[in-house]
Amino acid sequence: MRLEAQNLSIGYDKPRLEVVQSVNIKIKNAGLTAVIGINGSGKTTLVKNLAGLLNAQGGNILLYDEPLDSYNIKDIAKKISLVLTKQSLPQHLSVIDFVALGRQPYTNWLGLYEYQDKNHIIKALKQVELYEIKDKACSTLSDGQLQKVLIARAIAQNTPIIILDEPTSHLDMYHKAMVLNLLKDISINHDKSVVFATHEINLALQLCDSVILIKNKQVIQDTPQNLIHSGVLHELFPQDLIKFDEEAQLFKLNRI
Amino acid sequence: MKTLKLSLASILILLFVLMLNISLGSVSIPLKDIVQAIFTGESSTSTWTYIVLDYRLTKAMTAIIVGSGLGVSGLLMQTFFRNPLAGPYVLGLSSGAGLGVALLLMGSGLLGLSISNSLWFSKTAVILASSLGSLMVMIAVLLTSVKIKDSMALLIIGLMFASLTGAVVNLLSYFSASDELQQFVFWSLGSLGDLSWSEVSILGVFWFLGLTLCLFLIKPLDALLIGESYAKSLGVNIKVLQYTTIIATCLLTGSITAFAGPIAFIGLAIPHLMRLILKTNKHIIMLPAVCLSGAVVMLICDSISQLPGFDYTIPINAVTSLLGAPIVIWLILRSRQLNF
Repeated sequence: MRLEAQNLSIGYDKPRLEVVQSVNIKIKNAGLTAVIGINGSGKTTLVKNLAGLLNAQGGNILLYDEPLDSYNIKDIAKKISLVLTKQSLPQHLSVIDFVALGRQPYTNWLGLYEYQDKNHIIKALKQVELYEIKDKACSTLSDGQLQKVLIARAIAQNTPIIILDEPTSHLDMYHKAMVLNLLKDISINHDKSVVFATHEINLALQLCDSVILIKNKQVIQDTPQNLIHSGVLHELFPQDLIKFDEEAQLFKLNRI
Repeated sequence: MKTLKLSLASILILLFVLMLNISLGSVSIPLKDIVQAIFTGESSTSTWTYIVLDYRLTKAMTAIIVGSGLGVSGLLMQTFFRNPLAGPYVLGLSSGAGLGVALLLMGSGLLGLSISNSLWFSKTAVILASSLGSLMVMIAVLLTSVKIKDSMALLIIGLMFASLTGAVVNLLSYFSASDELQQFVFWSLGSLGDLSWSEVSILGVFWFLGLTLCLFLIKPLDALLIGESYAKSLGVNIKVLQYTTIIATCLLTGSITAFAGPIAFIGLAIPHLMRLILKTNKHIIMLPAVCLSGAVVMLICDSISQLPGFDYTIPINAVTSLLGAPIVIWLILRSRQLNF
């Protein structure tokens, strides 16, 4: 088992706020796993807990069957890489320098890159098809390109698990599909377990191997097909505006 | 190759500016005698040897230490706080030093004590008071940073320390006699020229320690450029980074302020100048670049403050700001933004 949550309860201290209780999740092998739920349901909190950025209020997270907090921070960095939502980046940071930061867990104390590091960096850039613009400053990229750069950094970090928080926000429909396809491709061809929080439920149901659904402070993990047939998706949102169409296996707008 | 050429060029520029700085002064000494004095310890007259070795060279060394040290502190602060406004002064270190010196110079006056009887005693006392003031603020900042994780909050607390100490200094100034007030104002204008070789060596030790610590910050600060969460996910221990950065800044800024007074502008502006010129944020390039350019700019400012033809020297703080502020404004107008 690569990553596992056992009876986890997550939330925030000061003021104490319990977001989700008794989370049981298993990320066994390579594959694409989406974390879905309505706004404020705790998707980001969950992925940040899984990545070790936030401390859980109870329960356990196991990384390769060992408790996450028994690892030191450098060893976690070799197992889990992280992609967060868009944020401000330094003005002069180039694409290649940004992607190269992914090699930090492997470089020496001064952060110098060796031949092997450079190989990983170039491979990651080529995989997201951004090698040609490697010297451009990140601050000048479009949202779609920037998202690919963020993912390339995680690829360069060369970890078996990649955790992403809303990788498709800010993107148009085409680029959303492109990013999710890229993640699918990485998971299949590079043996990665990709876990991502997303609002793109329709796309997630079509592409993912497994879906983690957060609903009413409870977490259900299952395959998309099982979730669709179990009927839980019907009650995910209030039904006055959108409805889950089981035949089309999509959420659709209600006709007025 | 490009890096090698650039480094070589900057070292040559530094040497050139250093020679220029030493050649300038109210007494004109031929270049030949200056070189001779530096390398053999002798020149045509013993006065010239004294001026070159014990006045101009110590002053130039102080300028190099002050410029590079403050520049590097500014770089650390700007990346650490992810804020282009940060400089070595934001933690309130120089305000702490200012408070220490104000308490010594003006407070002792108010209590009816006089510390200016012996020049040596008053100079040492000022250095001690300034160091103590910085140290107190540093301890306060370290204690707060244990409680507060958010670096932006720490920045604001630093500013509050500065306001607090500033207010106390204002009060002291208001009630002080003009003599003591003048002494304090002189200290606050900054000075590079008052140090003996032994004082420069003490300053040099702190500078060396501070810069050595910075070497270990190159890698984690690079990771911090893209945010604290990312840095953590790349294996950076944020707490250790926080302490190391604060200690390195305190070693550099605290000692420099103690010996040379609060020197404005360099710490804030040099990192911006270098980022705009080199178009990079990588600390492995920025650290040596800021170090060298800080030294060069400080030597130039010092040369300007004692331009030949004038009998008196302009306070160094006035030069750094008068020269520096317009340059930074121009750079911002040109690039339309300022980043960390």
